[in-house]
Amino acid sequence: MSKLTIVGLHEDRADVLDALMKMAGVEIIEDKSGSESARSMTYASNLDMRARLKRAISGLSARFPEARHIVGKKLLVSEEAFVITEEDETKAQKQLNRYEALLREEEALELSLSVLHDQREQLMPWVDIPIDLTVRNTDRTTIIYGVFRDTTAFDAFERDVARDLPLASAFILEEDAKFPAKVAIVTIDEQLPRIRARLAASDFHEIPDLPFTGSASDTLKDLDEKVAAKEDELRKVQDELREIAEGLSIFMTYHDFLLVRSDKAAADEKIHATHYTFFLKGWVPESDAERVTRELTDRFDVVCSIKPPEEGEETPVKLKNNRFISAFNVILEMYGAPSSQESDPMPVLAPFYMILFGMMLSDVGYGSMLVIATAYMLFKKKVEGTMRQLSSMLFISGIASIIWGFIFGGFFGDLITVVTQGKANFPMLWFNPMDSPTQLLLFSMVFGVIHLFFGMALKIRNEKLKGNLMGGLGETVPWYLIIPGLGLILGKGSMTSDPQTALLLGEIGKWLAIAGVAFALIFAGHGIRNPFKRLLKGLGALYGITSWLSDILSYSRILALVLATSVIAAVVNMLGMLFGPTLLGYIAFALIGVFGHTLNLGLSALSAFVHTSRLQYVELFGKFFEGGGSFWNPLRRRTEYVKIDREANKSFSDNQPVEEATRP
Amino acid sequence: MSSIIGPLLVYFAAAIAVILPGYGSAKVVGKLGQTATGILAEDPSLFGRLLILQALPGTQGIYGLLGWFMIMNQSGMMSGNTNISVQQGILFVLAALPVAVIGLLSAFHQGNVAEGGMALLTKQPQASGNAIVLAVMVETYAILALLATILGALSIAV
Repeated sequence: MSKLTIVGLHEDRADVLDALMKMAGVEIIEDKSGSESARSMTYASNLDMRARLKRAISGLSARFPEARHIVGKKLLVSEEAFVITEEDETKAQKQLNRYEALLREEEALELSLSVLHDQREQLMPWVDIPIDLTVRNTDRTTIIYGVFRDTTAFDAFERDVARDLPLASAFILEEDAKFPAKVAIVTIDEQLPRIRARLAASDFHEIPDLPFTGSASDTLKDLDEKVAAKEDELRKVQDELREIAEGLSIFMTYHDFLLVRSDKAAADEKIHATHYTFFLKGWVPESDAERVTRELTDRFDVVCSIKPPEEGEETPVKLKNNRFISAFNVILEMYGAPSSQESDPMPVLAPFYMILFGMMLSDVGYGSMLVIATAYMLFKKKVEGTMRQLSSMLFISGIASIIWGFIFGGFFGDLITVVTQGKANFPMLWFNPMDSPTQLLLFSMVFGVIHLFFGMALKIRNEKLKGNLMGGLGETVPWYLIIPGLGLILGKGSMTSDPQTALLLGEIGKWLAIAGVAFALIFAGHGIRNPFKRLLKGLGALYGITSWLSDILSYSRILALVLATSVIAAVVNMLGMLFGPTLLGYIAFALIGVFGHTLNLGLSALSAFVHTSRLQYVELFGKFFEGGGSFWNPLRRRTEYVKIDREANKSFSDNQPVEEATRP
Repeated sequence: MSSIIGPLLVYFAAAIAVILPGYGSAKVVGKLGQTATGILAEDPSLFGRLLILQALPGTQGIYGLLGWFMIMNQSGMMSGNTNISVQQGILFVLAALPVAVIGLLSAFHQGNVAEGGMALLTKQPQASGNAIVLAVMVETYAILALLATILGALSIAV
């Protein structure tokens, strides 16, 4: 990383920032806190507009498959299309307002439609009655329509009316007089309150208050017309919404344009300015420094100066690795950036992540499923950002799982053995962990020791970078001798059956360990003159054996996870074969197998992911990692929905490809 | 009489290996699920990360099942062997104890860390990796207990 200082004229300020964002090659150093003033009115309205656009985009894509198709992948736009003029902006805002208005209209229409449908429903029972229902009274009388639920209530009512209210009468409107029956009650106006009181006391339901236009069937026709009209209107609204959905790219481009503008404003806050000039400082990778300077000075009246960071100054970190290793960057990002003063842990982390993950999920079937699923994500769906990193990491790890599956002879557990009733076995290249778990336990720890030894090699490199090579060797070399020595002493029996060789191995181990202890006592206190203190420091260093013991034992989790994967797979196969080797049995086997193995893959892959990460973070990083750095995060055009096609604009085509992934 | 007690003890050993860690996992995963639904009401985009944290203390239940399998397999009772002495039965019970007890207790402790991790996610969604690793630190002891059970069961001659 080099420190870049740019001094330029005030009038170029915005254009220089634009150019820097397009190049995506400089991280601006913030040395005044301007985050508060960035929350101005424009910031708020920008944020608000973005939220509205986001709602519109997600709403439309949830409704229309054509819109979902557009949003599913990042939209490729050219540089020209990403320049949004004020005119475009008003157009997009108008479109957004239209969308929101349409949504409200749609809601209102749907509400009135549901009211109309409700009225239709209530009117339906009266459709056979050919009486004009709008006529409810004459000069002296009132007519009440309604329904009597049952005959006893009606009879009682009729009897009471005949006795007490002679100037009223009830008529059943249907010929067959079946209950519940529709009834018309005609009464002289003076008696109306008493009739109403009597009706309220009996099981009578008056006809609902609907906008009658004649007989029930006439009213129904009228309602149907209204429904049709409203539905027509609704269809028009929905058609217009679909039209907007088809032009969704406007919203997407506008949203990202606003996002870039907001980022630019935030970057602008970090720039120092006088009346006529501005001045900014930033980090740029050494390899890019000259290109960035050239491009800026060619286009603008600016002065750039580049100088290396000061001795011991912490700079942002940009990892430089090949594609295989950088696939695992996501693991390091989860933990945190290394300090810029230490070496890159990725070359050790990546291959061991692959190997350890492969061991924990050692199964040809599960590995293949993982590879197929991640290949689909990578090559068919072309996912972006963190998902892409995770997928490519799991893709590589899945291949490792397949390889370890062949080594341990696992194909969906013991699927082949179970299906063929023990006639055939899936071949294994080494040994079956179920039969000889102790052997795997031993090898897990051996792999762990190798893993940790690589970590210590990085420790030596880090100390060398600090100019303390001797100190680094003094701390590490004893363990390179002691651990294999102790390993030989303890494991000599299981390495060879010949007692003579075993004795020899034990002897070698003993001397290795003694040499290691001696080395620690002499060199661990490197730089300390007082011999007594130096010896004490060496003894102190030897106490580190306890941490070594727990680190190595921690790798025993590999055995546990290998067994967990294969035992659960075996249980799934066993359950599947409960119905025996018949046709029905095999159908049940397929059903149970698909469900059970998918579940086991999910659980086991999660365990493998999590526990391999832990072995890297705690055991490996514990040996050398200092951390405390930050990843280089250049000022760039961060986009969410669109991808700006650089090729379309030749003036920046000589840019080297820069990672597009948006880091949260 | 003694011919019954041996197999009974093996069944008992296998049963506690499943029951105790399974109970711990179920209880803790349930509690975390409740916490997660509360957080999801605020921010549905956290679902994937919350799900991983919720699933972490579920492994103890799986380790319990693994212990059950090892005991049943080693004793030969899976393939119908009932010729087990009382002494062997007691040894199987003792072998089952590590995964049963530590599986149960570690599930609770891991659950507490995972719940804290969920609270962390609401403030800093990008810290999910750290939250997961902190919770996994607890699981180490369940794994060690499982290994003790497996190696213990395998060392019993039947």
